[in-house]
Amino acid sequence: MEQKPDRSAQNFGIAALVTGIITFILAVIPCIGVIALIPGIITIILAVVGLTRSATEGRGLVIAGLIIGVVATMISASQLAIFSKGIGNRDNIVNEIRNAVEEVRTEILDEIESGDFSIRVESGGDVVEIKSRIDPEKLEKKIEKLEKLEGIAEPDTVKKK
Amino acid sequence: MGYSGIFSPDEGNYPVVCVHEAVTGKPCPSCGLSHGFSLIVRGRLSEAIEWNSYSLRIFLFFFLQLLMRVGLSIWYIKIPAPALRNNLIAADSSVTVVMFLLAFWPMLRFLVTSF
Repeated sequence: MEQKPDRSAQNFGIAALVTGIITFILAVIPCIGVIALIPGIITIILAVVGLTRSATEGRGLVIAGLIIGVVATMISASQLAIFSKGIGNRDNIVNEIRNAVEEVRTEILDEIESGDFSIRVESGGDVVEIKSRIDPEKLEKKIEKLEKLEGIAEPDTVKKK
Repeated sequence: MGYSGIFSPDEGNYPVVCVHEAVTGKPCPSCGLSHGFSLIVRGRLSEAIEWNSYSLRIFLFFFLQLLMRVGLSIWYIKIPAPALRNNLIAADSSVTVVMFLLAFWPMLRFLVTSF
């Protein structure tokens, strides 16, 4: 009785090759590249199983599937590195914004404390600028004078900065 | 094509979101491809290019590959001579690789330059 040749290795090779090609295409698309890790691992498993079963027939297919699978998995995994870099950049941007806001806040507080105000609004080519120079000591004296004249509040109730 | 046909570009209810944008906060060259493909299937080519400038070439790659796979599969079965079949496989592989590079070059360049 004639024995049929074992074609399971070839079948595993074809499966690995097809999965590998699909994985490769998925891996190079940045939006879904990381997801390709799963079919990539499946490809490698299929190819390894095929290699263990193959003697000579279908070995080429299995090796081709294995190479494509490994390369696709590496591309997919490399996107994780890109992500970590992107997250680092995002943190830097957040820190830069935070520092800029803090600087502006400090400047505004300093100007308020010194009594110098300058508000500039630009919109559609129109510029509106309001400047105010107030001496805090003069302002304090003015308030005290007003209180004495009108007697609306005790001097202790006025907040002094 | 089924995916592009089922989901409407006007509703934008695509189940697959960009992982890259979700993680890094920045869009990638493949952002807008789902919208682009849906618009191409509906014949709205200029809108598709607005969504993603590479959508047309990538769609063409998949569409031509579909035609090639069906056509060449029939041809492979009909060709009895192994030498001729091997030549056809080599030509098919070469053309596919060139097509892949032409279609996906911006994505590959993005992956390389992102490091």
